[in-house]
Amino acid sequence: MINPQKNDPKIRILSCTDEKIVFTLREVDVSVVNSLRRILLGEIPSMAIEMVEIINNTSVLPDPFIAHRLGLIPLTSNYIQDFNFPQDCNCTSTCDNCCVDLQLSRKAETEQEIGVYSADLISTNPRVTPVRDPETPRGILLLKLSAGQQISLKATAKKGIGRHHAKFSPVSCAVFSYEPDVRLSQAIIDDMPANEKEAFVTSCPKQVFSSDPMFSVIKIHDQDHWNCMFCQECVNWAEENHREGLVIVKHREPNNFKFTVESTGSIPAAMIVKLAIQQMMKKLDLCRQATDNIGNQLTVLGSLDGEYLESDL
Amino acid sequence: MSTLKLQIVQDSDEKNATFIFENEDHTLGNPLRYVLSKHPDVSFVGYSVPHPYEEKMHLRIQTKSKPARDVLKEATNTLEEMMTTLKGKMEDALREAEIS
Ligand code: SF4
Ligand SMILES: [Zn+2]
Repeated sequence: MINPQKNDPKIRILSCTDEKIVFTLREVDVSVVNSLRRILLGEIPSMAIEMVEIINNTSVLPDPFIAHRLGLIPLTSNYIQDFNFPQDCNCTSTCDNCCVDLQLSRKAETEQEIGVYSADLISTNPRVTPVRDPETPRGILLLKLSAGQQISLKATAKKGIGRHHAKFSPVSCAVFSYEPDVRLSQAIIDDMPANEKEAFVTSCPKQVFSSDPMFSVIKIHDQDHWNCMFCQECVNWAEENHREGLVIVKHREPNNFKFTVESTGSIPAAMIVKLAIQQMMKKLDLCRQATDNIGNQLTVLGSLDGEYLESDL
Repeated sequence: MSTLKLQIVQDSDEKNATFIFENEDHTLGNPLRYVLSKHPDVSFVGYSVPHPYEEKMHLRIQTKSKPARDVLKEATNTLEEMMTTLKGKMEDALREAEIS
Protein backbone atom coordinates (compact mmCIF):
# COMPACT_ATOMS: atom_id res chain seq x y z
CA MET A 1 0.00 0.00 0.00
CA ILE A 2 1.29 3.41 -0.86
CA ASN A 3 0.72 6.51 1.21
CA PRO A 4 -2.31 8.49 -0.01
CA GLN A 5 -0.53 11.72 0.93
CA LYS A 6 2.05 11.04 -1.76
CA ASN A 7 -0.61 11.36 -4.43
CA ASP A 8 1.60 11.22 -7.48
CA PRO A 9 -0.02 8.85 -9.97
CA LYS A 10 1.70 8.19 -13.28
CA ILE A 11 -0.27 7.36 -16.40
CA ARG A 12 1.04 6.32 -19.77
CA ILE A 13 -1.26 5.59 -22.68
CA LEU A 14 -0.02 2.57 -24.60
CA SER A 15 -2.74 2.65 -27.23
CA CYS A 16 -5.94 4.55 -27.69
CA THR A 17 -8.71 4.15 -30.24
CA ASP A 18 -12.45 4.73 -29.97
CA GLU A 19 -12.95 1.04 -29.26
CA LYS A 20 -10.10 0.31 -26.91
CA ILE A 21 -7.71 2.09 -24.60
CA VAL A 22 -4.71 0.53 -22.88
CA PHE A 23 -2.73 2.44 -20.29
CA THR A 24 -0.35 1.85 -17.44
CA LEU A 25 -1.11 3.23 -14.03
CA ARG A 26 1.61 3.57 -11.42
CA GLU A 27 1.66 4.73 -7.82
CA VAL A 28 -2.05 4.20 -7.30
CA ASP A 29 -3.35 1.81 -4.70
CA VAL A 30 -5.12 -1.29 -5.92
CA SER A 31 -8.31 -0.34 -4.06
CA VAL A 32 -8.63 2.86 -6.08
CA VAL A 33 -7.87 1.10 -9.36
CA ASN A 34 -10.45 -1.55 -8.54
CA SER A 35 -13.03 1.13 -7.78
CA LEU A 36 -12.46 2.60 -11.21
CA ARG A 37 -12.93 -0.83 -12.75
CA ARG A 38 -16.16 -1.37 -10.83
CA ILE A 39 -17.46 2.03 -11.92
CA LEU A 40 -16.56 1.34 -15.54
CA LEU A 41 -18.56 -1.88 -15.46
CA GLY A 42 -21.51 -0.81 -13.41
CA GLU A 43 -22.01 2.89 -12.99
CA ILE A 44 -21.44 4.68 -16.29
CA PRO A 45 -24.87 5.28 -17.79
CA SER A 46 -25.73 4.47 -21.38
CA MET A 47 -28.83 3.93 -23.49
CA ALA A 48 -30.31 0.51 -24.15
CA ILE A 49 -33.65 -0.84 -25.28
CA GLU A 50 -35.91 -1.37 -22.28
CA MET A 51 -39.33 -1.93 -23.82
CA VAL A 52 -40.37 -3.74 -26.98
CA GLU A 53 -43.80 -3.78 -28.50
CA ILE A 54 -44.08 -6.54 -31.06
CA ILE A 55 -46.57 -5.65 -33.76
CA ASN A 56 -46.09 -8.67 -35.98
CA ASN A 57 -43.67 -11.53 -35.73
CA THR A 58 -43.94 -14.46 -38.09
CA SER A 59 -40.28 -15.42 -37.82
CA VAL A 60 -39.17 -18.65 -36.15
CA LEU A 61 -37.92 -16.83 -33.06
CA PRO A 62 -40.32 -16.21 -30.16
CA ASP A 63 -41.07 -12.62 -29.11
CA PRO A 64 -39.18 -12.64 -25.76
CA PHE A 65 -36.12 -14.02 -27.48
CA ILE A 66 -36.07 -11.14 -29.94
CA ALA A 67 -36.81 -8.59 -27.19
CA HIS A 68 -33.83 -9.84 -25.21
CA ARG A 69 -31.54 -9.62 -28.22
CA LEU A 70 -32.72 -6.08 -28.90
CA GLY A 71 -31.89 -5.10 -25.32
CA LEU A 72 -28.29 -6.14 -25.78
CA ILE A 73 -27.67 -3.95 -28.85
CA PRO A 74 -25.28 -1.10 -27.99
CA LEU A 75 -26.72 2.31 -28.81
CA THR A 76 -24.59 5.41 -29.32
CA SER A 77 -24.61 7.31 -26.02
CA ASN A 78 -22.27 10.25 -26.56
CA TYR A 79 -25.00 12.63 -25.47
CA ILE A 80 -26.08 10.57 -22.50
CA GLN A 81 -25.82 13.62 -20.22
CA ASP A 82 -28.75 15.18 -22.05
CA PHE A 83 -31.04 12.37 -20.97
CA ASN A 84 -32.75 11.82 -17.63
CA PHE A 85 -33.00 8.52 -15.85
CA PRO A 86 -36.61 7.35 -16.28
CA GLN A 87 -37.15 7.39 -12.50
CA ASP A 88 -35.88 11.00 -12.23
CA CYS A 89 -37.79 12.40 -15.20
CA ASN A 90 -40.66 14.78 -14.68
CA CYS A 91 -42.88 13.10 -17.22
CA THR A 92 -45.58 10.63 -16.24
CA SER A 93 -44.56 7.77 -18.52
CA THR A 94 -42.27 8.54 -21.45
CA CYS A 95 -40.94 11.70 -23.07
CA ASP A 96 -38.10 12.89 -25.29
CA ASN A 97 -35.93 13.68 -22.28
CA CYS A 98 -35.82 10.11 -21.03
CA CYS A 99 -36.74 7.85 -23.93
CA VAL A 100 -35.87 7.24 -27.56
CA ASP A 101 -38.17 5.29 -29.84
CA LEU A 102 -36.87 2.92 -32.45
CA GLN A 103 -38.70 1.00 -35.15
CA LEU A 104 -37.99 -2.16 -37.00
CA SER A 105 -39.95 -3.44 -39.94
CA ARG A 106 -38.69 -6.04 -42.39
CA LYS A 107 -40.27 -8.60 -44.63
CA ALA A 108 -38.77 -11.29 -46.82
CA GLU A 109 -40.58 -10.41 -50.05
CA THR A 110 -38.76 -12.77 -52.36
CA GLU A 111 -37.86 -16.44 -52.13
CA GLN A 112 -34.54 -15.45 -50.70
CA GLU A 113 -33.83 -15.66 -46.98
CA ILE A 114 -32.91 -12.28 -45.51
CA GLY A 115 -31.05 -11.25 -42.38
CA VAL A 116 -32.37 -8.56 -40.08
CA TYR A 117 -29.58 -6.49 -38.63
CA SER A 118 -29.34 -3.91 -35.89
CA ALA A 119 -28.81 -1.21 -38.53
CA ASP A 120 -32.39 -1.90 -39.69
CA LEU A 121 -33.62 -0.30 -36.47
CA ILE A 122 -34.71 3.22 -37.31
CA SER A 123 -34.24 5.64 -34.47
CA THR A 124 -36.30 8.79 -33.97
CA ASN A 125 -33.28 10.52 -32.44
CA PRO A 126 -30.12 10.69 -34.57
CA ARG A 127 -28.01 10.89 -31.39
CA VAL A 128 -29.12 7.47 -30.22
CA THR A 129 -28.71 4.90 -32.98
CA PRO A 130 -27.49 1.31 -33.08
CA VAL A 131 -23.70 1.28 -33.05
CA ARG A 132 -22.14 0.71 -36.45
CA ASP A 133 -18.55 0.47 -37.52
CA PRO A 134 -17.04 0.49 -41.01
CA GLU A 135 -16.17 -3.20 -40.87
CA THR A 136 -19.72 -4.33 -40.18
CA PRO A 137 -21.89 -1.57 -41.63
CA ARG A 138 -25.09 -3.51 -41.03
CA GLY A 139 -24.36 -4.08 -37.37
CA ILE A 140 -25.41 -7.15 -35.42
CA LEU A 141 -27.48 -9.97 -36.92
CA LEU A 142 -30.72 -10.18 -34.96
CA LEU A 143 -32.65 -12.86 -36.80
CA LYS A 144 -33.25 -14.35 -40.23
CA LEU A 145 -36.47 -14.32 -42.19
CA SER A 146 -37.30 -16.87 -44.88
CA ALA A 147 -39.75 -16.32 -47.72
CA GLY A 148 -42.91 -14.56 -46.59
CA GLN A 149 -41.93 -14.11 -42.97
CA GLN A 150 -42.00 -10.69 -41.44
CA ILE A 151 -41.11 -8.76 -38.33
CA SER A 152 -42.36 -5.41 -37.21
CA LEU A 153 -41.90 -3.87 -33.80
CA LYS A 154 -41.50 -0.70 -31.78
CA ALA A 155 -38.79 -0.42 -29.18
CA THR A 156 -38.07 2.17 -26.50
CA ALA A 157 -34.54 2.87 -25.30
CA LYS A 158 -33.92 4.29 -21.85
CA LYS A 159 -30.98 5.40 -19.79
CA GLY A 160 -29.62 3.04 -17.17
CA ILE A 161 -26.52 1.72 -15.45
CA GLY A 162 -24.72 -1.60 -15.62
CA ARG A 163 -25.30 -2.33 -11.95
CA HIS A 164 -28.98 -2.74 -12.73
CA HIS A 165 -28.61 -4.58 -16.01
CA ALA A 166 -25.43 -5.51 -17.88
CA LYS A 167 -26.87 -4.24 -21.17
CA PHE A 168 -26.35 -0.67 -19.91
CA SER A 169 -22.63 -1.20 -19.37
CA PRO A 170 -20.69 0.81 -21.99
CA VAL A 171 -17.67 -1.48 -21.72
CA SER A 172 -17.29 -4.97 -23.07
CA CYS A 173 -14.12 -5.40 -21.07
CA ALA A 174 -12.52 -3.52 -18.19
CA VAL A 175 -9.59 -5.32 -16.64
CA PHE A 176 -6.31 -4.48 -14.97
CA SER A 177 -3.31 -6.63 -14.24
CA TYR A 178 -0.06 -6.27 -12.40
CA GLU A 179 3.04 -5.76 -14.49
CA PRO A 180 4.73 -9.14 -14.88
CA ASP A 181 8.42 -9.58 -14.20
CA VAL A 182 9.80 -12.58 -16.09
CA ARG A 183 13.47 -13.34 -15.59
CA LEU A 184 15.62 -15.97 -17.23
CA SER A 185 18.82 -17.48 -15.95
CA GLN A 186 21.41 -17.11 -18.71
CA ALA A 187 23.72 -19.67 -17.09
CA ILE A 188 21.10 -22.41 -17.27
CA ILE A 189 20.09 -21.45 -20.82
CA ASP A 190 23.69 -21.77 -21.98
CA ASP A 191 23.69 -25.27 -20.54
CA MET A 192 20.63 -26.42 -22.50
CA PRO A 193 20.72 -28.20 -25.89
CA ALA A 194 18.74 -26.66 -28.75
CA ASN A 195 15.83 -29.12 -28.59
CA GLU A 196 15.34 -28.39 -24.92
CA LYS A 197 15.40 -24.66 -25.59
CA GLU A 198 12.74 -25.12 -28.25
CA ALA A 199 10.58 -27.10 -25.82
CA PHE A 200 10.99 -24.37 -23.23
CA VAL A 201 10.15 -21.51 -25.61
CA THR A 202 7.00 -23.31 -26.77
CA SER A 203 5.97 -24.12 -23.20
CA CYS A 204 4.67 -20.57 -22.82
CA PRO A 205 1.12 -20.27 -24.19
CA LYS A 206 1.47 -16.50 -24.62
CA GLN A 207 4.73 -16.45 -26.59
CA VAL A 208 6.58 -14.38 -24.03
CA PHE A 209 9.91 -15.91 -25.04
CA SER A 210 11.43 -15.47 -28.48
CA SER A 211 14.28 -17.29 -30.06
CA ASP A 212 16.23 -17.45 -33.31
CA PRO A 213 15.39 -20.28 -35.76
CA MET A 214 18.33 -22.34 -34.53
CA PHE A 215 17.28 -22.00 -30.89
CA SER A 216 20.62 -20.77 -29.67
CA VAL A 217 19.52 -17.71 -27.71
CA ILE A 218 16.29 -17.13 -25.79
CA LYS A 219 15.11 -13.57 -25.27
CA ILE A 220 12.13 -11.62 -24.00
CA HIS A 221 11.46 -8.79 -26.41
CA ASP A 222 10.88 -5.28 -25.16
CA GLN A 223 7.13 -5.27 -24.44
CA ASP A 224 6.50 -9.02 -24.65
CA HIS A 225 6.55 -9.52 -20.90
CA TRP A 226 3.16 -7.79 -20.80
CA ASN A 227 1.68 -10.85 -22.52
CA CYS A 228 2.46 -12.99 -19.49
CA MET A 229 -0.66 -14.13 -17.64
CA PHE A 230 1.09 -15.64 -14.60
CA CYS A 231 0.09 -19.17 -15.59
CA GLN A 232 3.42 -20.58 -14.32
CA GLU A 233 3.63 -23.02 -17.26
CA CYS A 234 7.23 -22.06 -17.88
CA VAL A 235 8.15 -22.51 -14.22
CA ASN A 236 6.47 -25.92 -14.17
CA TRP A 237 8.27 -26.90 -17.34
CA ALA A 238 11.60 -25.98 -15.77
CA GLU A 239 10.83 -28.02 -12.67
CA GLU A 240 9.67 -31.06 -14.60
CA ASN A 241 12.79 -31.00 -16.69
CA HIS A 242 15.14 -30.50 -13.77
CA ARG A 243 16.02 -26.96 -14.73
CA GLU A 244 15.03 -25.32 -11.46
CA GLY A 245 15.78 -21.63 -11.42
CA LEU A 246 15.66 -21.28 -15.19
CA VAL A 247 12.81 -18.78 -15.00
CA ILE A 248 11.20 -16.65 -12.30
CA VAL A 249 7.77 -15.07 -12.77
CA LYS A 250 6.47 -12.49 -10.32
CA HIS A 251 4.78 -9.10 -10.04
CA ARG A 252 7.18 -6.29 -10.79
CA GLU A 253 5.88 -3.76 -8.24
CA PRO A 254 2.81 -3.82 -6.02
CA ASN A 255 1.34 -0.57 -7.41
CA ASN A 256 1.97 -0.92 -11.09
CA PHE A 257 -0.93 -1.84 -13.33
CA LYS A 258 -1.90 -2.20 -16.94
CA PHE A 259 -5.50 -1.21 -17.50
CA THR A 260 -7.46 -2.28 -20.58
CA VAL A 261 -10.87 -0.85 -21.40
CA GLU A 262 -12.84 -1.95 -24.43
CA SER A 263 -15.93 -0.03 -25.39
CA THR A 264 -19.08 -1.58 -26.84
CA GLY A 265 -19.06 1.36 -29.25
CA SER A 266 -21.68 3.37 -27.37
CA ILE A 267 -19.10 5.84 -25.97
CA PRO A 268 -15.43 6.24 -27.03
CA ALA A 269 -13.14 4.31 -24.69
CA ALA A 270 -11.09 7.30 -23.52
CA MET A 271 -14.30 9.18 -22.74
CA ILE A 272 -15.55 6.28 -20.61
CA VAL A 273 -12.39 6.36 -18.51
CA LYS A 274 -12.76 10.09 -17.96
CA LEU A 275 -16.41 9.63 -17.01
CA ALA A 276 -15.41 6.93 -14.53
CA ILE A 277 -13.06 9.28 -12.72
CA GLN A 278 -15.75 11.95 -12.68
CA GLN A 279 -18.27 9.47 -11.34
CA MET A 280 -15.93 8.58 -8.49
CA MET A 281 -15.56 12.28 -7.67
CA LYS A 282 -19.31 12.69 -7.69
CA LYS A 283 -19.63 9.79 -5.27
CA LEU A 284 -17.11 11.34 -2.90
CA ASP A 285 -18.85 14.68 -3.11
CA LEU A 286 -22.09 13.04 -2.02
CA CYS A 287 -20.21 11.28 0.73
CA ARG A 288 -18.79 14.55 2.02
CA GLN A 289 -22.19 16.22 1.97
CA ALA A 290 -23.58 13.27 3.89
CA THR A 291 -20.87 13.49 6.55
CA ASP A 292 -21.71 17.18 6.95
CA ASN A 293 -25.37 16.40 7.40
CA ILE A 294 -25.07 13.68 10.00
CA GLY A 295 -23.37 16.26 12.20
CA ASN A 296 -26.73 17.92 12.79
CA GLN A 297 -29.12 15.02 12.82
CA LEU A 298 -27.26 12.28 14.52
CA THR A 299 -29.07 8.96 14.39
CA VAL A 300 -27.89 6.76 17.19
CA LEU A 301 -28.95 3.20 16.51
CA GLY A 302 -27.02 1.31 19.15
CA SER A 303 -24.21 -1.09 18.49
CA LEU A 304 -24.09 -3.56 15.63
CA ASP A 305 -22.85 -7.08 15.34
CA GLY A 306 -21.00 -8.02 12.25
CA GLU A 307 -17.76 -8.84 10.63
CA TYR A 308 -15.50 -6.20 9.21
CA LEU A 309 -13.16 -6.81 6.35
CA GLU A 310 -9.70 -5.49 6.80
CA SER A 311 -8.04 -7.02 3.81
CA ASP A 312 -8.36 -6.35 0.10
CA LEU A 313 -11.26 -8.08 -1.59
CA MET B 1 -29.61 7.89 -9.92
CA SER B 2 -29.86 6.37 -6.49
CA THR B 3 -28.77 8.83 -3.84
CA LEU B 4 -26.39 8.14 -1.02
CA LYS B 5 -27.82 7.93 2.48
CA LEU B 6 -25.55 7.93 5.47
CA GLN B 7 -26.39 6.75 8.96
CA ILE B 8 -24.14 6.71 11.94
CA VAL B 9 -24.14 4.14 14.69
CA GLN B 10 -22.34 5.69 17.59
CA ASP B 11 -20.67 3.73 20.35
CA SER B 12 -20.05 5.02 23.88
CA ASP B 13 -18.12 8.05 22.62
CA GLU B 14 -17.47 10.02 19.45
CA LYS B 15 -14.26 8.19 18.68
CA ASN B 16 -15.92 4.93 17.76
CA ALA B 17 -18.60 4.71 15.14
CA THR B 18 -20.04 2.57 12.39
CA PHE B 19 -21.24 4.43 9.34
CA ILE B 20 -23.92 2.84 7.21
CA PHE B 21 -23.84 3.93 3.59
CA GLU B 22 -27.00 3.15 1.70
CA ASN B 23 -26.77 2.58 -2.05
CA GLU B 24 -23.02 2.08 -1.84
CA ASP B 25 -20.77 -0.98 -1.95
CA HIS B 26 -17.13 -2.00 -2.36
CA THR B 27 -16.65 0.76 -4.96
CA LEU B 28 -16.66 3.36 -2.20
CA GLY B 29 -15.89 1.16 0.79
CA ASN B 30 -12.56 -0.24 -0.26
CA PRO B 31 -10.79 3.04 -1.18
CA LEU B 32 -12.17 4.73 1.94
CA ARG B 33 -10.84 1.87 4.03
CA TYR B 34 -7.47 2.25 2.34
CA VAL B 35 -7.19 5.99 2.98
CA LEU B 36 -8.42 5.63 6.56
CA SER B 37 -5.99 2.85 7.30
CA LYS B 38 -3.20 5.28 6.45
CA HIS B 39 -4.65 8.06 8.63
CA PRO B 40 -2.41 8.68 11.66
CA ASP B 41 -5.34 9.09 14.05
CA VAL B 42 -7.11 5.87 13.13
CA SER B 43 -6.60 2.86 15.35
CA PHE B 44 -9.04 0.56 13.56
CA VAL B 45 -10.90 0.67 10.28
CA GLY B 46 -12.79 -1.97 8.39
CA TYR B 47 -15.73 -2.20 6.04
CA SER B 48 -18.25 -4.80 5.08
CA VAL B 49 -21.19 -5.32 2.80
CA PRO B 50 -23.33 -7.44 5.13
CA HIS B 51 -25.65 -8.84 2.49
CA PRO B 52 -25.33 -8.69 -1.31
CA TYR B 53 -29.10 -8.13 -1.73
CA GLU B 54 -29.13 -5.09 0.52
CA GLU B 55 -27.46 -2.05 -0.99
CA LYS B 56 -25.68 -1.16 2.22
CA MET B 57 -22.07 -0.77 3.21
CA HIS B 58 -20.85 -0.59 6.79
CA LEU B 59 -17.69 1.33 7.64
CA ARG B 60 -16.28 0.96 11.13
CA ILE B 61 -13.86 3.61 12.40
CA GLN B 62 -12.10 3.79 15.77
CA THR B 63 -9.80 6.73 16.34
CA LYS B 64 -7.29 7.79 18.93
CA SER B 65 -8.45 11.35 19.60
CA LYS B 66 -10.62 13.06 16.93
CA PRO B 67 -14.29 12.24 16.41
CA ALA B 68 -14.72 9.42 13.91
CA ARG B 69 -16.98 11.61 11.81
CA ASP B 70 -14.28 14.24 11.25
CA VAL B 71 -11.79 11.59 10.29
CA LEU B 72 -14.21 10.17 7.73
CA LYS B 73 -14.58 13.63 6.25
CA GLU B 74 -10.82 14.07 6.06
CA ALA B 75 -10.50 10.73 4.32
CA THR B 76 -13.15 11.72 1.81
CA ASN B 77 -11.26 14.91 1.07
CA THR B 78 -7.98 13.03 0.64
CA LEU B 79 -9.61 10.61 -1.77
CA GLU B 80 -11.22 13.43 -3.68
CA GLU B 81 -7.85 15.13 -4.04
CA MET B 82 -6.42 11.87 -5.34
CA MET B 83 -9.16 11.63 -7.95
CA THR B 84 -8.64 15.26 -9.00
CA THR B 85 -4.95 14.59 -9.54
CA LEU B 86 -5.76 11.38 -11.40
CA LYS B 87 -8.18 13.24 -13.64
CA GLY B 88 -5.57 15.86 -14.48
CA LYS B 89 -2.93 13.24 -15.20
CA MET B 90 -5.37 11.28 -17.35
CA GLU B 91 -6.22 14.33 -19.43
CA ASP B 92 -2.52 15.16 -19.85
CA ALA B 93 -1.73 11.62 -20.90
CA LEU B 94 -4.59 11.55 -23.41
CA ARG B 95 -3.52 14.87 -24.89
CA GLU B 96 0.03 13.60 -25.21
CA ALA B 97 -1.15 10.38 -26.85
CA GLU B 98 -3.20 12.36 -29.36
CA ILE B 99 -0.26 14.51 -30.39
CA SER B 100 2.17 11.67 -30.94
S1 SF4 C 1 3.94 -17.57 -16.52
FE1 SF4 C 1 2.87 -18.42 -18.30
S2 SF4 C 1 2.50 -16.64 -19.62
FE2 SF4 C 1 4.04 -16.01 -18.13
S3 SF4 C 1 5.98 -16.39 -19.15
FE3 SF4 C 1 5.54 -18.22 -17.96
S4 SF4 C 1 4.47 -19.57 -19.37
FE4 SF4 C 1 4.45 -17.52 -20.29
ZN1 LIG D 1 -39.38 11.58 -19.33
